[in-house]
Amino acid sequence: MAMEPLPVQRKTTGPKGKGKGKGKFVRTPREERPLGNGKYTPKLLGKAYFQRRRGCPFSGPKAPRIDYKDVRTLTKYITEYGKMMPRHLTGVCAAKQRELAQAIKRARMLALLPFAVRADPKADRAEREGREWTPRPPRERGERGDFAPREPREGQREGQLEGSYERRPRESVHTGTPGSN
Amino acid sequence: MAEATKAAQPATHYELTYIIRPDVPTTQIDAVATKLTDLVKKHKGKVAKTEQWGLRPMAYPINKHKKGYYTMLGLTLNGGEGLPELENQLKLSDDVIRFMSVKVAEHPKEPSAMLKAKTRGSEGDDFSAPAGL
Repeated sequence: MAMEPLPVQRKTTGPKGKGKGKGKFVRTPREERPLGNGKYTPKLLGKAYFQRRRGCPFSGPKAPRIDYKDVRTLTKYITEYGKMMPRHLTGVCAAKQRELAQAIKRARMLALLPFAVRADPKADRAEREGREWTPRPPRERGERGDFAPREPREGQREGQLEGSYERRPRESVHTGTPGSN
Repeated sequence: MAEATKAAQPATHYELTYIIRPDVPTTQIDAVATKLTDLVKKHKGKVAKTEQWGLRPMAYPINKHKKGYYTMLGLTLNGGEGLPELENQLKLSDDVIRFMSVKVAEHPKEPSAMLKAKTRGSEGDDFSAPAGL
C-alpha cells in the first residue's frame, strides 16, 4: 500500500493587483450574459440562486389571518412529513410563528392536518432518483415457486419442517397437560 | 341578584367543532346539532353560526374511522356558562368521535376558510388517512 506521491500541481498566481486591468475588461450587457455561465459573478448569483428575503407573510395589511380552519394556508408551513417548518425557512416573524404553531396544533387535533406522515423509504428513494414509484403488483402464481399461495397446513404438520416454534400447531402445546387450566 | 351576576359575566365567544362518525345516519348529524343548540339556549347563550363541513377525509384515522362529518358552531355564552355541560355531552356521545372548543375574539361574518375551499371544489390539499389501516 505504498502511496505514490502525486505530482503536486501548483496554481501559478500572478503578481497581485496586476491580473485584471480595470480598463481592459469590457462587461457584456446584463441582458446578453447567459445565466449561470460558470463564472463567479456575485451579482448574478445573488439574483439567480438565492431567494429574495421577504417579510413575514402574516404581517402587513393584506396578510391572511392565521386560523386553524384554514388548512390550505397551514399546509404551506408544514413539511412533507407533517412537521412544522422552522421560522428561518418561512420568514414568519416570531409572534406570528407562535400563533401559527397554535393553529397547526389545533388543526392536528381535529385531524385536519396530520401529526406525522409516514416516511416511505421506497418512494423516497424513487423520488431522489427521479422516477415514479408504484407498489409492485402481486405476483402471478407460477412466476416463482416460493411466492405461490401457501398450501393448507396439513403438509407442514406431517413433515414438521425446520420445527419452527411459532408454527407448531396449538394442540401440541396442550397435550402435555391435559385437564389443567 | 340575578341581574348583578349577568352584568359581571361578559359575553364570550367560542368555536365548537366536532366530528361525527361517518357510519351514522344523516339525521343523527342534525340531532346532535339540535341537542347542543338546546343546551346553549338553556344557558341563555346564542348560536351565532353553524357550519356543516360535510363528510371529510381525516388526516389520520380516529377510532378506525377515516372520514367524518365535521360541524362547527359559533357560540356566544355568558362567561363560558354551560360550556362544561356541552363538552360533557359531547364526551358521552357515541356518535361524536372528536371535538374541540376554542375561545375566539369574535365571530367573523363570512364563512370560514373551510367552506371557501369547498366551493372552489379542489380537494388536492386534503390529507386523507393513509390507505393501509
